[in-house]
Amino acid sequence: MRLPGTREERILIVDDEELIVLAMRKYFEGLGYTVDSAHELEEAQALLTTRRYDLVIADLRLTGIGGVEGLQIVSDIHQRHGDTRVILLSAYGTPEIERESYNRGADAFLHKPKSMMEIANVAVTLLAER
Amino acid sequence: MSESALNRILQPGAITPVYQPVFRVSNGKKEIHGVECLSRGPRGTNFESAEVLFEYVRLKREESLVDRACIAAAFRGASALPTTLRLGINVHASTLGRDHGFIAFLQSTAAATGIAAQRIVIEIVEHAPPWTTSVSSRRSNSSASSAWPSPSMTSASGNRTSKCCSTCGPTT
Repeated sequence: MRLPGTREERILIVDDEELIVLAMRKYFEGLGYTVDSAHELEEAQALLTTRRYDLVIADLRLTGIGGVEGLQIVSDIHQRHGDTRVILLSAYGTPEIERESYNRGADAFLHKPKSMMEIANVAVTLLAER
Repeated sequence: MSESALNRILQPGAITPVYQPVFRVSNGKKEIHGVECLSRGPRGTNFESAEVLFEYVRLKREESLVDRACIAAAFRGASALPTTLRLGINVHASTLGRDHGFIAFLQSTAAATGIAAQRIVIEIVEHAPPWTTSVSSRRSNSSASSAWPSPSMTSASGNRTSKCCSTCGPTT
């Protein structure tokens, strides 16, 4: 399925797992998006300060057990870039964390496992709404 | 889990120095006065961009560590430049405020790479309240005791930074 990505649309993928980042980068670049990636919270924050993204796809947990760095990313984006869409991914999300992510401004909270196509469908829908 | 980005930045050879010429223009003549030492992070990574690199470093509160690495790389590379040129190095105000061994590091690194102290111009980069009054006094006294002149405040452009410059050694 060819999705309507354009070279002008820029996506940031944030995950501490290198293989996941590589897989997602390859998939979304194949759809025509420009993709950056980060592996830790501060790296993502540095990119968000210096560049503008249309969409951020971030794992909720970037460090160890109990980490919820993804929530901080959502807050940072909501404060600085009102038109940037955010998808949070998590295998450990509780209803409370999911609620908190929406309170902070997340556009979607997806429970892993999800296929690339499922994630891409959500991404394209969010980008089309901008 | 991927290797910490900071560890990658601090690997030997990961920081690439680049030198931006500074010209003196007088009576219609221009001559090269010195260079500003700039840094690029690991090639092919987000941190190759100085903007991303130093924003990341400030968020990690590791300005001193990376300032030292950048200066060491700059001085090593500067050995290929004419010895008459001034070398401007950027140093975070927080590094001067918190890293009590920084001046000694600067002096020893300059000596090890054959850089005369008089050539060095420290450009203080400010992103947060740089120092308290007590720290400022201590640094001024320290500078005086090592024959460094008191820094003169020079306003500089920049969206979020300001710079002041201090020349090491006697001014000409």
